[in-house]
Amino acid sequence: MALDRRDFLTIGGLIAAGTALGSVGSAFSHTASGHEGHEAEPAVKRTGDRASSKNKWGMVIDIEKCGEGCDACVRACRKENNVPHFDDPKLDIHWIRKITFKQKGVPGAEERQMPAMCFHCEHPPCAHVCPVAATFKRADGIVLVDKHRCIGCRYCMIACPYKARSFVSMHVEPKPGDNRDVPVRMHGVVEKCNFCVHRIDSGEEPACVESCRKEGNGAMVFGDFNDRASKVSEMVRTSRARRIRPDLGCDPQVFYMGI
Amino acid sequence: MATKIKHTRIEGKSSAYLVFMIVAGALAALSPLSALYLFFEGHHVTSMTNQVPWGMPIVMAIYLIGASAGSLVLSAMSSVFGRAEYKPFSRMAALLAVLLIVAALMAIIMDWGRPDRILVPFFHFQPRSMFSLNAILYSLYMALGIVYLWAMFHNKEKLERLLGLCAVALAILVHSGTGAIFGFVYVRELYNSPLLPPSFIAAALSSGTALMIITLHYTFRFTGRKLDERHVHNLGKLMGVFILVVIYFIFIENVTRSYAPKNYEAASFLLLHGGKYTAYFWIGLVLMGLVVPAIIALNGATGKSVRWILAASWLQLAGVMLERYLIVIPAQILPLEFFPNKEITSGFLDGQFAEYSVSLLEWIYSLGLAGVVMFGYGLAIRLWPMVPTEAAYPEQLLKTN
Amino acid sequence: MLTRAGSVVVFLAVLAFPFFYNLVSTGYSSSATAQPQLKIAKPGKCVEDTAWMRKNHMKMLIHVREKAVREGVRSVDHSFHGCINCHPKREEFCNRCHDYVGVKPECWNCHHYDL
Ligand code: HEC
Ligand code: HEC
Ligand code: HEC
Repeated sequence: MALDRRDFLTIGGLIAAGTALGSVGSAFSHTASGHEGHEAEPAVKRTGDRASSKNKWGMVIDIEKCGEGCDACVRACRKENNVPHFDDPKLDIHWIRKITFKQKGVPGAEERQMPAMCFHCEHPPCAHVCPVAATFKRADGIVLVDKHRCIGCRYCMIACPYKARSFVSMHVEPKPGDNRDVPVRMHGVVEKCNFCVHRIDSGEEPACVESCRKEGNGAMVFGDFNDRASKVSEMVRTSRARRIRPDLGCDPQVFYMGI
Repeated sequence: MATKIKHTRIEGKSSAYLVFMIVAGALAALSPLSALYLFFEGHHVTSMTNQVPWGMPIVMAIYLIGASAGSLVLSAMSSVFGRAEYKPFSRMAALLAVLLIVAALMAIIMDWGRPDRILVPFFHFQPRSMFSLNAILYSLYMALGIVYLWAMFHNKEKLERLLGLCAVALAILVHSGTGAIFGFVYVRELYNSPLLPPSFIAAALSSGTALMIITLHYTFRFTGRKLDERHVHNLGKLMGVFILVVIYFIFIENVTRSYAPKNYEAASFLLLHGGKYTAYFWIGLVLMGLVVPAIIALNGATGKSVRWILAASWLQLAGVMLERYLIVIPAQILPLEFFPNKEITSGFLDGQFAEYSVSLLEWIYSLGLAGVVMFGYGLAIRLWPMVPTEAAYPEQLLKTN
Repeated sequence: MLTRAGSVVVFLAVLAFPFFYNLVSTGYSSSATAQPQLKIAKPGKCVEDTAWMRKNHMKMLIHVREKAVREGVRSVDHSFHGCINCHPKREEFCNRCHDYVGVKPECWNCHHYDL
């Protein structure tokens, strides 16, 4: 039997239907992006308060100040959040890491370092793809993983452009020496930097920023972008503040100066 | 319908059946065993890492969903599209569709880090997540497939037609959704493509047809029932055409991607210097998985030989598996770009090509899923009248040819 | 050779395995003889009514958790930080009941209770 017209129409129809679905899907996946809209009273969050959209937490990192070989932020984060070492670079959990970068294809190019963590995007792709809304953006802009709800499908790790996420692939137990303010982890759950949300909720700054100021070179500054008088707002108003991969439109809330 | 088709249960007394069921059962048992091991140990026992979070289980899942959607469309050919020559194996195809989607759901869920939280997705619907949408689509699809099968058994022609139509629509939606899981990921050049949903459907149809040919042939041979060879020729042709469509999509997708300078790195990784991935692509997928089976199926002489068509079907099944692998894996191997034109390194393996090779556990896991489908099929044709006593070719069609 | 009914039975048995496994492994039947002896470290009042707590502490903890994690409303005495202040030893309090009824909350995988 040769293929007749009906076969071709059938096949063509199936494919057309598939194509239509693809385009409809992508249409609703883009929303307008606005930033630094409100001019609100500076709001301080205290224990027991609800996170509110009056705040918009973010960070500015001055790379020129970031010291070579200094890993105060990484160490502080590991200590604060009880991040373990698995001795296997492929499986290790990283909430914050130091990245070394240089011009590609230029021999002897200058090397620079910068810390990178979760950038707490305004339009977080990880939260968009999470099937159970375990990853979500809190009212004050912090992108969090609800470890109680995560099913471990790892779609967020596929969707994150910044490789901010780690999957716990080994059993870890709470240990007596741990920081008791931060519960630890269970294998099968995805986790990432949460801007030390427990500290923010009691009015402190993230551990990495604190240790960068105290032990490092003060390259990291944390604050509220909604507060026009805050240090971070002042810094992002300069022309030197940049986001990583702005072309993607995720609008990270971590800015870098001197890239 | 010109001829009344009589379905009966198979006897299941032959030693071939016993051997098949023992082998399939043993394989099927591997599935929950490997899943339990994975659940209690954590994913460090596989080669999935923080660089390559999705491995063989996801490859299997989309492969099985594809084969399921393809089978369902074939099953509905007779009732919905009025093609009498597909009638004899309509039930078998619908059965396969249901079994395959069950195995696919197992593949997805057992791969979660916390499969014990299985009920969570049903309580937290997230319309923007392709996974969440698909969870609903897959469940609906499975339920509809079962009702459709039931309608076929009770000779409710009108209902069967209606359900078949819905099921085909849903199959297409389900598989487009599966393609969209990857196509919508805009941060990875090798995923992001509006062509993935339709291309998934084309591959679903071709692999579904290949699976049907294989199932038909062996079922009829081992039950000693009569299968008119023209069924195989016909399905072979259909498969050939579907493969051409797959080739077309793969061609367009890669050409489009390669055109933009910003994608040179990603495109050339897959097509030119990706090591084993490039070899898999050109030799495994394009040559052995697509071109050769298409030629066999569409060529006049080989297209009339059951043996050749069977060989082409096996090649096509393996080819589509490789296609799924090449969709899922290389996009994760390629490092994410932090800054264009800058080289980056870090303790988290940023800026480096990741490594992935299927681990033993993932092989066992995948074989287990195949075992589930085989065991379910063997059991179902023993329990219910699925297989026709004789698959004659409808005569009135011969006249039009 | 399996008969039709036989194979259905085998299939159901396989499906039901986890259920029976749980039944055996958590020992519903064996330990149901003794009432749990609770040790109240700091006599006084619980954060809510005792009878209510006995019945609803799990729902309360989950409610507190949703509030804390998703909205940032952190409670001191109604979350684990509170429980541990007055019920410092899990072994002598929480676990006595839980072992008795055979529940094993997954919380301790992550939450430091009496470490
Ligand atoms: C201020 C101290 C205090 C705190 C904080 C506290 N409890 Fe209690 N709890 C008590 C006391 C005292 C009793 C015994 C009351 C009685 O005997 O009537 C009790 C009784 C209970 C009981 C009932 C035991 C029984 O006799 O059946 C449960 C269950 C319980 N607490 C759970 C919790 C949980 C869960 C938390 C943490 C959210 C918590 N408690 C926090 C002091 C406290
Ligand atoms: C009076 C006995 C009793 C005491 C004391 C008790 N529990 Fe429970 N708890 C129960 C029972 C019974 C359940 C199971 C409820 C169910 O499954 O519906 C339970 C369930 C739970 C759950 C939910 C488990 C799940 O997986 O759903 C949590 C969390 C929990 N308890 C925490 C605690 C903590 C923390 C303490 C100690 C401060 C404690 N309980 C003390 C009786 C008790
Ligand atoms: C996968 C690890 C994990 C498991 C399992 C887990 N938790 Fe948590 N839980 C966390 C983390 C991490 C936080 C801190 C989140 C934050 O600070 O935003 C938390 C926070 C909480 C809080 C809020 C603490 C506060 O600061 O007020 C409560 C209450 C809570 N969990 C209850 C539970 C209960 C009840 C269970 C068991 C049914 C449980 N958790 C199981 C990881 C876990």
